[in-house]
Amino acid sequence: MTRALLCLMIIGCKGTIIGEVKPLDESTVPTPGEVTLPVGPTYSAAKCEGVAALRTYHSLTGDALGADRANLAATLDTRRPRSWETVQSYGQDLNRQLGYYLATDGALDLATVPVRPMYWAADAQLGALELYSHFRVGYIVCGRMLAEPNGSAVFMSPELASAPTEASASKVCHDMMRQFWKEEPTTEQVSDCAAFAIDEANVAATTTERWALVCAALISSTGSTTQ
Amino acid sequence: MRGVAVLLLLPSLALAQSLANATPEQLKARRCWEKTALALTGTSEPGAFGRDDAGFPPLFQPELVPLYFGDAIYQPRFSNRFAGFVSSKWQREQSTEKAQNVPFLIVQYVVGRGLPWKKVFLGGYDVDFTENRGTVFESPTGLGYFRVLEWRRQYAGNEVAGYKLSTAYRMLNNTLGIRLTAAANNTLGDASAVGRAAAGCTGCHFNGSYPLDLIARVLERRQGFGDKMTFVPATDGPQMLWGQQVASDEELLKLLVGSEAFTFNSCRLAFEFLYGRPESACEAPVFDACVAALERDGTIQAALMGMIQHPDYCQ
Repeated sequence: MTRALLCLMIIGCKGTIIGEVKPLDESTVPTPGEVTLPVGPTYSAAKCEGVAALRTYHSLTGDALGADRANLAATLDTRRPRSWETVQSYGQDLNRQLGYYLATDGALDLATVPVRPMYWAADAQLGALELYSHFRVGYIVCGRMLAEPNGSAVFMSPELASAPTEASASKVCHDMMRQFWKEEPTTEQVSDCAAFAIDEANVAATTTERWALVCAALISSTGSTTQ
Repeated sequence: MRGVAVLLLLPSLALAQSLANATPEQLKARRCWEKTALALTGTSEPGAFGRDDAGFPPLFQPELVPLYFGDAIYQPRFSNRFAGFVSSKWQREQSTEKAQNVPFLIVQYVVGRGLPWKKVFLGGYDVDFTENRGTVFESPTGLGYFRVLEWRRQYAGNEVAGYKLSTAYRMLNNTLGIRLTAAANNTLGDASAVGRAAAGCTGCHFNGSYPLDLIARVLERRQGFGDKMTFVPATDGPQMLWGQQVASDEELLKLLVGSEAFTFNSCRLAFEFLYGRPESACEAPVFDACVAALERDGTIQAALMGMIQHPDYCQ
């Protein structure tokens, strides 16, 4: 499961697999002035164009308010972490994402799940523990869903009855990504997910566990843990 | 009328569960429905909206927004969440003690009853902390949360002569969103009014746009610390603030809350609650819709609905 957790980062992001890490050859470390640092791609956020504020606002001293607004395109990614409440109630929230309802899921061990502080509501911080909790509970709920005949209104496809193949994994990955992320995945993302299902998730003993790993990896990915 | 609308919607809701065949527009709409639901109530569970059907309409249609969220924003789940958000913006630090969360209690009371947002700052309220109840009640001598004893003590500050600089700052920050960074001391090593009038300090304390010392002079003064802290009336007389003579905390707050900057800051608060970040330049039309709704109806619910129902909201 730990291995799968590491792999979910790959699926959720770009698909770059880190290869063997070689020790640094200190004898070849360049001295200052001998090396020209490579110039990477220049990232610039898209600007806001063609939208003008209908109103202007002023402070008590007459200064214009809103000058600190970021000049970014409205289409820029605006995802934010799902709320503390959903982090607190993984079972119900995952059930909802999966289209699967099982009363006993409310009894999941959520001891490591963070709780929103009283009298305070800032966005949840998704650290390693929270991410692992997402994965762990996701794995349990996905496993129950897959073990239940006709358990889900969303994912009970024939492909899930047998071990993943390239074709079945691509289809299941594609469908799950759309369901969890509410976005069309790229070909590369689907391909990475399928590779994970075939190559990495085969550590699981059963077909159900294998698909549960795929499902949990996706439900713990950025597209699912943010809204 | 609403019942008819619900019945008409049910067939499309039933189909909205699986997104396997949803169009990009439908995927985007679903994300927007859920994002809004999670922002307002902290959950995407339909039960949170008083509905027992399983999903949202396939497209995000502003005219359907009241049907889904119109009741939810008057439920305790919403007022609790909004009050918590406001607390995270206004409070110096987290506390699980009710007496250290007076703004939370007042905001929850005002928003939970659908009262005008300004009442958080100007309404006649006090809080009963007997046996840690934290019950808000109407009080003719109240002034939002600013005259609740526990809050007065919490933000009285430690100025040597008892001027409530900390209170002055909280009033500016909570109403207008003004942010000033406190310096532990100045180069003279003199934290008294004389030191605060020195170059480098006077901009925040006497001569700037928001002079803390002048504001503090219209407020009561602190005597003593901790449980023995008491307050005495201001004795410095009216102060000239933003072109007006201000003689009391009530006059000060009426001036602040009556300003355009207050409405601007209230909508920035509402926008950030909804989006998780301040508005960008491109989102100015949505922001303006918030201001228009707040000016028209006065409630934070109207401000939020004004944004959610704006055509650009889900863009």
